[in-house]
Amino acid sequence: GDSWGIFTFLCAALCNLPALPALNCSEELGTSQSIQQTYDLTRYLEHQLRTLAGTYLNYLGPPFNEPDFNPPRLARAERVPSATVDLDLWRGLTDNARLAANYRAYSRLLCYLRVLDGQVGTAELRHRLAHFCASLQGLVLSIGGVMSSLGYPLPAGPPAPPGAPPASNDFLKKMDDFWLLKELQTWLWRSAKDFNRLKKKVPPAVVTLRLEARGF
Amino acid sequence: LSGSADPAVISPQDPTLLIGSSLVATCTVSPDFPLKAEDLYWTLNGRRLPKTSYTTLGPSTLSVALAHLNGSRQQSGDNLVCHSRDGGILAGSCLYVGLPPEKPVNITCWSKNMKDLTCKWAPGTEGETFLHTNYTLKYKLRWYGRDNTCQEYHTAGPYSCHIPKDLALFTPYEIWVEASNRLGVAVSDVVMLDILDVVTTDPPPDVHVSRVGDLEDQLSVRWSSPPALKDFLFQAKYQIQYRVEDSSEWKVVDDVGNQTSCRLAGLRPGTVYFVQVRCNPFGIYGSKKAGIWSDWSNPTAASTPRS
Repeated sequence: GDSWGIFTFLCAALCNLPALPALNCSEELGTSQSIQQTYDLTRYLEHQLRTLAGTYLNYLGPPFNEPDFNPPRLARAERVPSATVDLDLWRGLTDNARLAANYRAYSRLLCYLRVLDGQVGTAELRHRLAHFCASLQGLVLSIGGVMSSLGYPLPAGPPAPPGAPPASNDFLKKMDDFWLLKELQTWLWRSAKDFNRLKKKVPPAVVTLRLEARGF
Repeated sequence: LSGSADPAVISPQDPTLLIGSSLVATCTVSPDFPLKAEDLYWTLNGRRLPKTSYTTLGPSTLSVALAHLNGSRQQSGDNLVCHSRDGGILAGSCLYVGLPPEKPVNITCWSKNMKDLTCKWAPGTEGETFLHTNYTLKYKLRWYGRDNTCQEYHTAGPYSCHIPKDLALFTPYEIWVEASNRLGVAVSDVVMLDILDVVTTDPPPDVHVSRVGDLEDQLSVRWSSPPALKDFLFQAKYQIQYRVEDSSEWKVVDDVGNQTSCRLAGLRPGTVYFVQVRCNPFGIYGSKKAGIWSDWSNPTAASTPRS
C-alpha cells in the first residue's frame, strides 16, 4: 500500500503536479515516529521486566527463581493471554490484526499486573511494579496511537474479564504470577520484532523526498 | 486429562506456624490421575526432602514430616511441593513460619508549620519475624474518643506515616502504632502530644554571607525568618554551622538567639567557608516544649579577605 503511494507522489513531483496537502506529509512523519517510539518502548519494557522478574521471582522463592523452572499450566492460567502462537499464522495476519492482538494482550496483562501490585509484600517490589505498570500503560497508548495514525480502528470495549476464577490457594497464585511474567516476556520479545518489521513498511525516507519536492 | 481437577491436593494448604514447630503434610493424588504414593516425592524451597521423612498413608497419599521449622526463607512463604517421579509439580503449599510481632517502639512525631503530623517508629523485634508485618498508625483526640487511622505510609522511611490535615491545636492527641502479622497483633505504648509542642519549619531562606569590610577574620551572616511561621516566631532560636572548604568538620554557633543576623569571628584569612542556618520554632503559642530543629539551609559560600 505505502510503496504505491511513494510511486504516485514521485510521478506527481516529477510532472510538476500540485503537491500533496501538508496534512499527508505530517501524518506520514507521525506514523513513522510513532512506530519507532513504540518499538523503543517495547525494548525498554523488555529491559525493565528482566529486573522486575528477577526481583519478583526471588520474592516467590525457590523453585520459582530457578533458571529451568517450568511448572504446569493449569486450566486457570489460561486467562493470561498466551504469547505462544504458530509463527507462520502470526506472520500471515494483517498489520491491523496483529496490532489489535498486541493492543488487547497488553491491556489485559496490565490489568493482571495491577492486581499483583495491590497484594505484593515488599515496598521495593511495589515500587518497581508501579513503575512498570506506568510504562506498560504507555505502551498500550502508543500502540493505540500507531493504529490510529494508520487508520485502523481501536479494538472495542474494555479488556475481556478473566475467564477462570482467581487462584484458590497461595501456591497456585504463585504459579499464576510466574506465568504472567513469562507471557509478558514473550509478548514483549515478539512485539519488538513486529514493530521493527512495521517500521520498515513506513520508511522515513518518504518524508525527506516530499519535503525536497516541495522546495521546487 | 481432566482440565478442571487439580492433579493432587496438599493438606494443610498454606498454614501459618510458629518457629520451631513441627508439621506433617499429606499429598493426595486426584482419582483421575494414574499415580500412586510410591511415584511421589517432596521438595521444600526447591530442595528434595529425604525419603526417611515420608510415610505412605494410602494407595495415593504420601505424607512428609518436618520438624523444628526455621523462619520462612521468604515472606511469600516457603514452597512445599509434591512432585511426580519425573519431577512434574502436582501441588504446592506455602508455609508461613515465623514469630508474632513485638510492640513497635520509639514513636517520634513532628508537625511542619502546624499543618500536618508525621510520625515514625521502630519495629519492636531486634531480629526478624520472617512474616510480612503490617503497621497501622492510629490517633485520637484525648477527650473525644474516636479512633482515626493514618493513611499515607512510608513518607519518611519505611516505618512512618503522614497525617496531612484536620489536626486540632491546643489539645492533646493520643498516638499509637499497631503491628500485625499472621501470628498476631502487638500494640505500642500510647504517646500523648500536642501539635504545638512538636512544630518544625522550613530552613531559613535568603541566607547571605558577606565580608565585614576589610576584616580578614570575620564574615557576616544574614537570613530571613521562615515565611510559613513568620507571624509566630517571637521566640524562635537559630543555629549556624560553618566549615572551611576542604574540611568535613562543622563548627556550630549555638547562642544566636532570636536575631536574623550574626557575625562569625576568629576565621582564617583568605579562606572559603560554607555556612548553614537552621531554625527551631519553640514557644509557639506559649508552648513550653523544646520545639524541633528544621533542616539546615543549603550551604552558602563566602571567603574571607586575604591578609
